[in-house]
Amino acid sequence: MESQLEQFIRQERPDASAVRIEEFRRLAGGYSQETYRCDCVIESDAGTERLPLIVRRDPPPEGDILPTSRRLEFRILRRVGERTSIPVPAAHFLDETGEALERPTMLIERLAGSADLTPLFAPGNEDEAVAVATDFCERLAELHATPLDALDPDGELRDARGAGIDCSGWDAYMASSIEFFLSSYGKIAFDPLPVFYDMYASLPNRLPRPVPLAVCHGDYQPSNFLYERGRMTGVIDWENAHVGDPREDIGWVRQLSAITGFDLFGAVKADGGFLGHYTKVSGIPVTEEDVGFFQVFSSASLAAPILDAVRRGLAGESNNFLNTYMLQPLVAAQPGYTAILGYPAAQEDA
Amino acid sequence: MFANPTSARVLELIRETLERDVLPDLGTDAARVTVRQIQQMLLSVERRLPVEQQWMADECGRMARVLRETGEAAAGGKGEDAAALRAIGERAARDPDFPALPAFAEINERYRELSAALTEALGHLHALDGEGWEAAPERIRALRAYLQLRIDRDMRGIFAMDAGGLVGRG
Repeated sequence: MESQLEQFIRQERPDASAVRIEEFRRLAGGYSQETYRCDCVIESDAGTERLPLIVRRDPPPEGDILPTSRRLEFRILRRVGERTSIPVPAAHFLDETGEALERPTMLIERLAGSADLTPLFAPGNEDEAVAVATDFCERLAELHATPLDALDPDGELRDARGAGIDCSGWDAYMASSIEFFLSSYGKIAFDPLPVFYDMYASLPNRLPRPVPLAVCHGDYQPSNFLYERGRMTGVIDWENAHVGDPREDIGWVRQLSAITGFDLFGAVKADGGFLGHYTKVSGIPVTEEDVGFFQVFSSASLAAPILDAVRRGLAGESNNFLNTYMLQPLVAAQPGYTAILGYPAAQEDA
Repeated sequence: MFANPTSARVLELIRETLERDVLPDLGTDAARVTVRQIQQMLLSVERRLPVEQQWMADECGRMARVLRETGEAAAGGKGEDAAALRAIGERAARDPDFPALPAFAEINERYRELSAALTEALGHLHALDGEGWEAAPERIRALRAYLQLRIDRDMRGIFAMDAGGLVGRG
């Protein structure tokens, strides 16, 4: 793949007299894109450039757990970088069709900073944890407060998954999203999944107050940012960015803070906590009830592709063992869903 | 728990993955032989799972019966061995036979059908709740109480995330 990368970058940079890929290696883990790191050395009349890169390539279609568009991810990275102060990787090169690199691939900046939150939340490091969590909250507020047309002028992030979501207004968005969850259940449920269906079917009866739609990150959570010396150095993994209700991201932060044990939500102290501070910075009012609703909504949204991945594995449409392994997190997620939905305690002798 | 995949189907998928994704990358004959042995034992467990409890229960009855009969045959016998056989016959007769267990496929199909019915019922109840049917919240609560038991059992009895967390997450 190194030689393919060199050739591709040379095409993209006609001014380059030589392109060299160094220290290329695949990064372990990751459930969606194939991810590699390397340094790219570019020689030109202007001198020598060294670009620290992350390469994100689509997996083979049959094994794709969360099918998303590299083109949309590339474009939202550029727009966020240009039009907000949110730190994001510079988006360098895009092979949109996969003509050069076999499958759609983007090459982005490898940022400084750590994604390991264990030292951040270690005893004695409370000040840094508060500072990073506050930054995390403020950057989310900034994203949501940025005018929709500045980040999505062509409307590409409206119905980004091509699922028939109507983004013409809040009511239409919520109704079409819930309709999509319910209708997709029938196609992807490889077995009766009553807790998931309960989650989807309960949504229409719990709708919160409307707020203006905004660009959502779509997976804003403890694993998807880098930090260094009390500041966020990068927000990463924008593949699920879409136009939606901004409170979706907050519900997901709350959900993943609870699951991972890295309580970014609770670490914000300004203005009475995460919600108060977010509201002050963004101007978007959010209540605890709203967060509960959007924990369910976001979980429903992100569970759908995982259920489908398991179905494809069981149906023999994919040979990737990861599709089968996804049964594990599906089981793991259910106690969280039942807690959010307020299930009563079980009685063995009932 | 899941009706689909069954435990046997999960083992089959693991066995196939070993063949396709692991065996070709192994560097030593010893490692390849070990994987072949693992595959063979997985196949054995696949075959055992759907019949294990049914056959065990059935054979408990068969063993008890033949031992009872043997003890009865030794009723007129003399000496320690005959006495021991009578005692064994009495021990075997002490507990009643298990009721016949339905075939696994029958239980699995019934579980799947009822789970589908329960899922469908939840959808109707939420719709009626939205229309203001007073009984809906209590019926939803009753179905959820059962489901919570199912989830608790899944987590307690089946789930294995304590062995290494979510493996391979970036």
